[in-house]
Amino acid sequence: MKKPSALSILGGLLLLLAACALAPRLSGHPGLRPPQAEQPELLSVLFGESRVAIGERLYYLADVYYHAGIGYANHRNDHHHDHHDGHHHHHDDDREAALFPFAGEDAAESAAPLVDHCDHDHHDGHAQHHEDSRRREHGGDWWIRINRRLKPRGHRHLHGRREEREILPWLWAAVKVDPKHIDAYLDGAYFLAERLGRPDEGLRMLDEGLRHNPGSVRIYFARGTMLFHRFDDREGAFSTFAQGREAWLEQWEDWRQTMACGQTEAEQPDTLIYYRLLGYMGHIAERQERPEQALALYGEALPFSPSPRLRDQLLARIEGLEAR
Amino acid sequence: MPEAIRIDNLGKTYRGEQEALRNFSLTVEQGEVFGFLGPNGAGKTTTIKILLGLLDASYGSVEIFGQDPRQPATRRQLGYLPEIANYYEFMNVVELLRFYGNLSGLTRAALETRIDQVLGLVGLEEFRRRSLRRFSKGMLQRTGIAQALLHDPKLLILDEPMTGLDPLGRRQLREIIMDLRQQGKTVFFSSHELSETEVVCDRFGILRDGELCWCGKPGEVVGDGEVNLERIFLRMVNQPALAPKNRQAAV
Amino acid sequence: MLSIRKIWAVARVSLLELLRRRDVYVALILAVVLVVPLSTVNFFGVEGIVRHLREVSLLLIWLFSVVIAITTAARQIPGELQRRTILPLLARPIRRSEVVLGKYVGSALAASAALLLFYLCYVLLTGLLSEPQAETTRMQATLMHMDMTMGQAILMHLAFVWLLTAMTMAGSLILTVSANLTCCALVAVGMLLFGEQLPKIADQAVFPASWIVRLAHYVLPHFEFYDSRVRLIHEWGAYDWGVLAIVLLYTLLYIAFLMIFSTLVFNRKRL
Ligand SMILES: Nc1ncnc2c1ncn2[C@@H]1O[C@H](COP(=O)(O)OP(=O)(O)OP(=O)(O)O)[C@@H](O)[C@H]1O
Ligand SMILES: [Mg+2]
Repeated sequence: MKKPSALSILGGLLLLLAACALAPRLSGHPGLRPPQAEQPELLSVLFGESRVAIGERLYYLADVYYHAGIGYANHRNDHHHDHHDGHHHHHDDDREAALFPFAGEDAAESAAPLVDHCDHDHHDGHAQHHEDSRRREHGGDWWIRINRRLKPRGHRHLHGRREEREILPWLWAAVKVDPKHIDAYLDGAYFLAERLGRPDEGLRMLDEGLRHNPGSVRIYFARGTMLFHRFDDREGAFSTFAQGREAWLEQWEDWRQTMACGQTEAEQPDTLIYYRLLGYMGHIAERQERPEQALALYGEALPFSPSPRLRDQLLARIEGLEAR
Repeated sequence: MPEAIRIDNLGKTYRGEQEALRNFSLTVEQGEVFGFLGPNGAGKTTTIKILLGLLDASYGSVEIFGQDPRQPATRRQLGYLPEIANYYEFMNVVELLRFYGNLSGLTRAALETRIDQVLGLVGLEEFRRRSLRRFSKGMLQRTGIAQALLHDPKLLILDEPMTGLDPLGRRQLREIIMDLRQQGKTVFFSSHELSETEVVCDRFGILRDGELCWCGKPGEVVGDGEVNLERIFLRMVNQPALAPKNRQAAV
Repeated sequence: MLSIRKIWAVARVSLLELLRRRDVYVALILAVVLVVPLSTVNFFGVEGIVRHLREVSLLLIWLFSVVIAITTAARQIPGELQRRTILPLLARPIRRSEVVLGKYVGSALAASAALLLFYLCYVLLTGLLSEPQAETTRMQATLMHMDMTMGQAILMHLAFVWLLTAMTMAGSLILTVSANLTCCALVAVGMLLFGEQLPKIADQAVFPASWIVRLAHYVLPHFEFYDSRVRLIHEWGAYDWGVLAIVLLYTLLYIAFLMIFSTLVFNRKRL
């Protein structure tokens, strides 16, 4: 009795191993793709209210993966006092990168880089950090020192398609668990389109994000820039930006009304993104020989200029157009 | 030649004030078969555990062949059948005997022949491959006897060896004990089977409330001409308990 | 003098027990059943993503190694007492310290064997699932996973299992089985998750709690030393051998301390 049952366990094991070997070949088969539409509902039922927290955790994991397995928590531990700021700084940095995924390339393309390009280099900032942590590598008891020598330390990013694709599962899982996680859509789309050469998938991800978050100005903006830069689709980009503008104006109106009711805590819609939307729209209108429209858009953007320098630039542009 | 077992003024009080043995002395000569009788809770198992060095005495001392049983070397010449044991249920009997044989220091070749011999003695040859999980109570008892005999010890201490055995098994055990006596081994066993004990043993002792109240040979005439062991036993056990003062005086 | 032969004889009982227990096979099949479907999930049509598979597989291996180590070790001596086989065992010419050591060696080896089996499956699985690079075959890709980092990670995990087994064995002599299982699981998982942060937690906590946390930092075994998952998943490369040697020395000293403690307790145990 004993022998056959042990044998059957072994047999089952071998079958499973065979299945693993076959699985990657089969997974490409369209008939075997898991039904995508049903999953979010299943997951929301499974996780209930905690799914926002889980989604946030998964999104955080994607960042940890991007830093080769080293999370903020670990950084923070290395340098307790001043690091707290440093960490937020870094965090905002990343968010900004997500907000303006294409900002860097705009400049090269002569187009409307309506953003101040004084942002510090990500890498330099971190190199500084690394130096600091090196200096702090002394002190502590034996256990602390052993841990410091055992755990990988330092700042490292994933490089190249082969490594960068590794963060996708966590972003995928984050939006599956919490379909309202806009940052996860933006980062996922950015990585797919910019780093992994899959703009089609990136666009699909943004569309899915819009389906779950109708009226998200940030997704409209990301979608518009992606259409503009990656697909060279000016009309598509313009209409997406226009949708974003409408959504923004609606939010702005809502905000003004709540403010009028005396509710001072209501959060003001982000004006910078509105400014950038208008900048892109004006730029496209200008390219498509619709100077009046471009002028109107620039004029609308002018009061929202984030800095005097950009305001001057924009004014110069308006003057140039009027001169024509 | 030292005595096989020497118990000197032994006393044991368990934690919780349970006084199990009280000023108990006994010697068993080499080559003797000694039956150790007494009602439930009299202290037989407690005595045996102290004899094996598994339990420390509260006072008094025990010696096995003149040595302290708490020394591992002393136990080399000792075979023990516990009162209750559920041997490793994931083994078969041969694996179990190999394990115990290794601990007793038998060489590999000697071990295999001994395993065959003892399995034959206790009548378990046909169950060599069966898992101990599926052994019956009597089969487990036979397994216990087999492991006690395995390393051919000079002294066997058996705690209620008859329990669970069928009539055939009892006869086999009786024959085994007779054989051991022939070979000059010492056997010390506790039992509730008076008629079996009477047939087998050279000498017996009756323990009551932690005190040895009778020690003698079967067939010896007691007091008013009693020879039957069962009657002697009942008489000893049913005596009114000694008052504490008298007890001190009796010692 | 302790007899190696007797220790080994006792150890073999535990090994045999593990071999005939079903839990290990069940855990292994469970792990494979969890990981394989994950490998077939399609992430935006991008292929060759492996680190999440490593993450999940290693998490399962760690989880099961904790479970197997503590359930094996926690049952050894209480099982002997409960079956009452401790009596015929100790009636043999064997020391109690030899019984404790044998039981320890047996459960540590049993847990190590189970762990090695898990890692074998891990190497095969990640090898088979990873995308073969140019002109390497699947088999070569599989073998490439067996590099120095992998070897060191397995060594560290083995040391972890040995230490956890020793701790559980010591606990089994002073606690009931279920209390011991709970405590050991809590300490193992707690130290794996927070062991590195204990000094900082102590700094932030208020008086009684801060002292307790600091005591835990100095006294409890630092299981987080052995966790090399980040190194393995994110390809950080091998450990420096110096620190590895220090950790192994720490492990051996701690195990020796726990074994001496266990022997002392077991010597006084009433049967
Ligand atoms: N571990 C223990 N702790 C406390 N008291 C105990 C313990 N073991 C036995 N006793 C007590 O010691 C006394 C003697 O017990 P022991 O087991 O020696 O009796 P016994 O003669 O073997 O009885 P039986 O014929 O039922 O096997 C009993 O009163 C029992 O309750
Ligand atoms: Mg008894």
